Amino acid sequence: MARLGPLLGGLVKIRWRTLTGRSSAEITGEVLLLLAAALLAERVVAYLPQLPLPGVVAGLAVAWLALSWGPEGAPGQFPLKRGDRMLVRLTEVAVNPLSWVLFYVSARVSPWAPLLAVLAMFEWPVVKRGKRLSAGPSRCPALLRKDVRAAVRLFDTMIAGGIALMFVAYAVRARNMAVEAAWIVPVVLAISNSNLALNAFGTDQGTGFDRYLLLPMTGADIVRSKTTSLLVLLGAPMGLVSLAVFWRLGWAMGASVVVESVTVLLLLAGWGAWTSVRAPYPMRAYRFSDGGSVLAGLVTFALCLLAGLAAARGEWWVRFAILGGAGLFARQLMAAAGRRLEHRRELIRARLP
Amino acid sequence: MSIRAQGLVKQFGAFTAVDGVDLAVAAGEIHGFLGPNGAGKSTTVKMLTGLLIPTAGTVEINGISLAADPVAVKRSIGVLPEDLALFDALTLWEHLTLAGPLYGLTAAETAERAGQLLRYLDLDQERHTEAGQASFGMRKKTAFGMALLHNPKTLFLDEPFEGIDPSSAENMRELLVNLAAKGAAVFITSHLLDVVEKLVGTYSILSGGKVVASGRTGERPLKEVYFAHIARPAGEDFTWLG
Repeated sequence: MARLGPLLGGLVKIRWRTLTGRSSAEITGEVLLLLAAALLAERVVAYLPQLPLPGVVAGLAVAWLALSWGPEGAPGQFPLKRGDRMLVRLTEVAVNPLSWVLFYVSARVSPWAPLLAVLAMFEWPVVKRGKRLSAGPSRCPALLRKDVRAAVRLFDTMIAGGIALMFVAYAVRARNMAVEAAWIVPVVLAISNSNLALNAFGTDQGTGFDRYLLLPMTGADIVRSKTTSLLVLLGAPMGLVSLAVFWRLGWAMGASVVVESVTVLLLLAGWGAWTSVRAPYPMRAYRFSDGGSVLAGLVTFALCLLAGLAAARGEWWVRFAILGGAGLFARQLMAAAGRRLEHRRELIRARLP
Repeated sequence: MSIRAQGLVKQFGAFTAVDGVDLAVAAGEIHGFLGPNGAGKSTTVKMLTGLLIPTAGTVEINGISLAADPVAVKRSIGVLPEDLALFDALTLWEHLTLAGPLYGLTAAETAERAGQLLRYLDLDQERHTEAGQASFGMRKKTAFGMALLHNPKTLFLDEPFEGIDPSSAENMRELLVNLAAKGAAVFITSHLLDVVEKLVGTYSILSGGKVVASGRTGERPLKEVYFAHIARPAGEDFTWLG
């Protein structure tokens, strides 16, 4: 145990510095997201049947996610015996508050899920290898494929997916579906994915951004490629929500949600392209994104909420006028972002490790 | 000239990383760009390939000004950058097939070339490994393959042989010699003087951001020229070691 003291102390220090190295706004954002995640998970749990399978899935998922959060490349290099390795691994998990939320939620799914998670950490090779999710779509352009894969590994996107699934489950089960819910969900989806839009190069890290610069693409080409990925990533859950609305509330309501979704997507694409070349920050898999500007986040919130609701509740000509305005807004800002990227490439690169 | 740089300067704040470098590399030539760590080699390569904007000076690649038409320059060059510039979420195969269409290759051409490169670089077994999960050597060979896939007129390789197994390194050397024989210019930075001496025809030695020597291999042993300009750190008495 004494031999392991410095290593375990190092793991605690890494976690402590990660937590305290953030601004109060970032920590507040992360705490809010964690609360949202816990609440959302509890609601999803309420829909699950009382069978062993959800508990098994929760246990294995917790083990895999908790291990994915360990410090990168660190303890594996030391000559540790099996018992030492277990202790190091448990310390890594125990000092991470995110793991506590996961274990709590898994315990709500099934009382023995946390125990299964701990066992899986040591006995399940797939979990031990860690950090591998689906292969992702394979029959689409590689840059889009790469963006989709990187995005689905972010917690923000997972939560957005959870919201969309929960809405569909609600649409299926609710006797009288609330019209307000249909209007608000596209806006919530856009806002919960806003980190992806506002920080398009965050998942690429610096080396990925270098590859964009080496390819024969102009700044405008790069911005277009990133916007396409965003539209696919956000369009999929919004499409699912729209289908559920068409099915439960009819054509008129479904069409209004489609117009609202497209409006919000265009606004987010334009504003996101502009912000992405202004102040990028790194985003890592299996973490919540943080590091973005609070002001940019507030502007996103206001834009999506106002335009989304106006598009959903106005007369049809008003909805289409707002849609047209959003299209123009997206076009202008994307073009400006493309030009700006050419001049700011060194600044963007310096901000991405 | 395939590569022509005049008065290249790069400053980061008050620090001058590259200080007035002139370079000229002809078609069909393999040029070695040597120097100690921190001399400014990678910064120079980044300026030559458009990753960094020079503070001063001009770059012309294959007769095209980099500042005036960067996309045309990028279409005509292949680059193995210092940090490899790979995406963690794409497999090795996907990396090689990623860029083909951007360089005007058809899907069939891209797949055929990518397959050949993977086999020749001994990556075929690992083609479906994501770059984020691959070893350093595999990542480097993938980036090397990406640099070659579109048959560039000029190739920039930053430390191509470090971390590569001997048989793959030999195959890489063969490819470079063949490419140069067909008229492409190859620009290599490396610390491996023996390897460079066998491969390159001309060289420049950089120190403190300035070119301190340049010439043709074969005139004088490269090691002799190198250590005439680059001092080794003073000896220490490691009595505790061994």
